Amino acid sequence: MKRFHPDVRLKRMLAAPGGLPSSVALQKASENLESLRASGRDEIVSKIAQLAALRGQGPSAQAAMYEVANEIFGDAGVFGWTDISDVAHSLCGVLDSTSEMQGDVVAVHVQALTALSEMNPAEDQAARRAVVAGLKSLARRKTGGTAHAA
Amino acid sequence: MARKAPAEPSDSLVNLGDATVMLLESSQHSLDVLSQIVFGLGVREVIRCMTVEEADKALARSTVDLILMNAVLKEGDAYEFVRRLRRSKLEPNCYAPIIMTHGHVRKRDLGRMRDAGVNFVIAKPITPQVLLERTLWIGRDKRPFFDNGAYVGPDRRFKFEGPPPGTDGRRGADLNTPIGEVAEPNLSQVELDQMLKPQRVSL
Repeated sequence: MKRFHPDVRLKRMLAAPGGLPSSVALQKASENLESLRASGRDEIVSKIAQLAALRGQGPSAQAAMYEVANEIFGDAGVFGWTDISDVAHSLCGVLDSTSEMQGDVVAVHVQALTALSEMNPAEDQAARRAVVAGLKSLARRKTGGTAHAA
Repeated sequence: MARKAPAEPSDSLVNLGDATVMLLESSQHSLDVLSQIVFGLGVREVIRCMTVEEADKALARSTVDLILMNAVLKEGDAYEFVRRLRRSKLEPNCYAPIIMTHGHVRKRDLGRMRDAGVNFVIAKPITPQVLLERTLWIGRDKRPFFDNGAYVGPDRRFKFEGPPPGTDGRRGADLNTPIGEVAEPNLSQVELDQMLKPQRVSL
């Protein structure tokens, strides 16, 4: 067994003097992300439409649905749309928990994603939270608790 | 999340201006998101890839200092890509720090994620704060690289607390003597510093 410390240029860079104050770097990164918020929303709406189309293809589309739901989970979370992100994560759990497509549970998740994406994030906070909580509970019951939370 | 991130307590300097960062993601939008974060952190050169094939070509022609990649790709196996790169002997890229991001993790992928040879795994959603913290952590990381045939990559142990009780351990450096109860107060930070950084004293 070889045990060694390779030369890693990134370590030397980070140890070198100069650069940006981390607060400035984080502020700039957050501003850059904000510039993508509108296109991010369009992207998520488009992916939810993809999910709905894939659902119509039946069990053969389960793997593709998992990939799209996983992308929605990550994309929505970046912009703070946590309810959409949570529902997408719950859907991933459902699709991963069994080899047999649970059509009714998947359908409810896709409908919830569609509804949440059409609502104004600033409105109906309580209703949005209730939708997410209800879906997670349903997913746990249907998958015997294997569809885990984020 | 795209909101104003709190400042690092020390507001330390981040020197990534000369770094080349390779991004390997499953969609253009995800690449855009990661690109904007790393540009904000001061990186000026980014290589964007959406497939393992593109990443292989990029690594063959360019030296990269950090790889940020998704665990799930549309084309190619992310874990196999890392395993192959670590074994490739394509220096220095085979030692490049790799941060893998993941969304939902399939049960079958948990072991593969641990054994692929990445430096860090970050759960999505990605935030600038978390990415910066993990990058800085890599800068301070003292873990050695291991090549034992079955695994090539950074030491998978972040914390070593000795071999399991009642065993002698598998490594020459493992202690097999039981450690007793604490007998004296802990050393102060000053005392620890003096032990770790011997300094000249005048008698």
